Amino acid sequence: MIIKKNCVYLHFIIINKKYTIVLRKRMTIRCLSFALMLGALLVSGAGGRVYGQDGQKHLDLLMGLDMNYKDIDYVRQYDILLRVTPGFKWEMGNHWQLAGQALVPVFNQYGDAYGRIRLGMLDLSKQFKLGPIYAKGSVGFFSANRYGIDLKAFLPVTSWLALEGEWGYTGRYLFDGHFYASPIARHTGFIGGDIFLRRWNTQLRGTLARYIYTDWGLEGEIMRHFAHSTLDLYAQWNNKIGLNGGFKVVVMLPPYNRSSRFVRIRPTSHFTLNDRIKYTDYGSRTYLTDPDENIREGWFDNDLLRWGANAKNTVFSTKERRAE
Amino acid sequence: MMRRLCFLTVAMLLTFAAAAQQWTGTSGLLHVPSADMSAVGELRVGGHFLNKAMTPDTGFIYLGSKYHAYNYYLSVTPYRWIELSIVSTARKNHPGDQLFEGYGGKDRHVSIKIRPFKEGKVLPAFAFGFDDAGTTIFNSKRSDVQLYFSNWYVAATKHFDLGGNQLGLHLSYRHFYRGYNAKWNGMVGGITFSPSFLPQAHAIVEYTGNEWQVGLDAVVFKHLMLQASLKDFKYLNAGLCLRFDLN
Repeated sequence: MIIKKNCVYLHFIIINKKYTIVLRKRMTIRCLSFALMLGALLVSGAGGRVYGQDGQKHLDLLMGLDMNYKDIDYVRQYDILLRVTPGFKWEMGNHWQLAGQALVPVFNQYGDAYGRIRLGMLDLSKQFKLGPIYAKGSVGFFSANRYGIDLKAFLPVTSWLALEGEWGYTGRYLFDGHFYASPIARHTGFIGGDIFLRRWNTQLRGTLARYIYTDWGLEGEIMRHFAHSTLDLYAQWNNKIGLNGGFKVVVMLPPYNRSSRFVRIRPTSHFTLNDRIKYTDYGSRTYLTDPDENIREGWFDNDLLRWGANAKNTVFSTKERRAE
Repeated sequence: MMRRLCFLTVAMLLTFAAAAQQWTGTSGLLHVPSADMSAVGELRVGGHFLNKAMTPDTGFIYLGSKYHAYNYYLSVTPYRWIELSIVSTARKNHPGDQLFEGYGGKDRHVSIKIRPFKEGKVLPAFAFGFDDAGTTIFNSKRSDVQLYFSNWYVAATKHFDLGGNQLGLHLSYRHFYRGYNAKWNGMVGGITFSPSFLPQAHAIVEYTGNEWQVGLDAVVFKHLMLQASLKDFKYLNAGLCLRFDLN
């Protein structure tokens, strides 16, 4: 077996039989727990305690742009990685969703490792409501090369105050023609709160988080929302990086009034520019579970939860279906 | 006839009111700040050619002589009282003992402008701000960092309507942190003029504390803003930016 950087290649070459048996046991236990959690998530819609609202059924074929840049070179301004992100979102009704996304490099100065088409995301999600808490569970392959299970929860206390949290239990994977994955063994997540100031259409957010490279830190954000975009200024303290900060510009992409057809072809909902003062590959990193996930819209469909900037006006709407 | 047609074409292209663009990406004059602010939700992405007469006398020297540089920026006005900009100014590097002709490096800085008092019927608008603000305000060991563009200022602006023509008077006090920029310290200011037949274009004359600078700016095709100026009446600086309304 080839062990490299905490990753286990699945095209096995057995060298050490004893270690392989131990690892198989650990993998079996983790796979079982993974399957149990998947099963729990799948049956959660059948119980009488879940009150998820019906969502419309759509199959969205998506195309987006993923722009990355870093300033670590003396001979050029930036190293740039530009990728297009074809994908799909199958909204199956009752807030079940299957989503997938590929990362196709168009311009790459990040090195050969990023030069191949790779899987960006393939996961199953379910949004539901448990009492006053809105929740979203996901299983599968997420962005940032993480796979496993993820649970998000959002509690709107008032129209201007909310608490939120996320827990993930994941391992690392890479699928770019070859597939390899490490065991699911890492807990990540955050707890935090949001204050929405309606008069200024501004959201304050504070979180305490454990990130995917086991670093942890605090983050404070000020988000200024506009009709179709959000500006986000943030400051971070991380136990490995120290103080950092930056800004995000989130631009929601048209069409804002979407078709009511079952199959729709559209761009991803947003383009996000994220600029940090200190660049680092391994600090304050998180993953996404939805190709359309962004700080402007939050985690939930608008027919399930409308809070903050979405409470009054939503960015996207769907045309009414014509009478048969 | 042809001249009239050309004039009408240019007049039709000029749309939207435009505050003068500054080399920092924020609103202002040419090389002098003002108390003007962009509209709320305005986002600008642009670049500017900086003549070597415009750059500091330190930090922009390659093989013993100053060179022309350029910058690029992203600026935004999230609220009507604050304007933020992040600017990267391209520099030539000396990686180790090697010489590299291209603009491989850059100096990044943040500009902040705050306007506590907007312009009234009688009183002018007042604003204050910082360029290279991240290190100016927060860094305690100033000697350890480069502060090529670091300065603070207070500014006042008053506009007058002269039969549809707009006349703007701008006065500022500015102080650069580094001594090699001291020539631009002190009282600075200028005049802007927008004729009634081209209200979206500005003619600008300013005194930078060391020399005079004249220029023009205008917005064309709704989103494209152009500016050109002559420092000391002979050194060309020019730039363009795309403007978007986030509302």
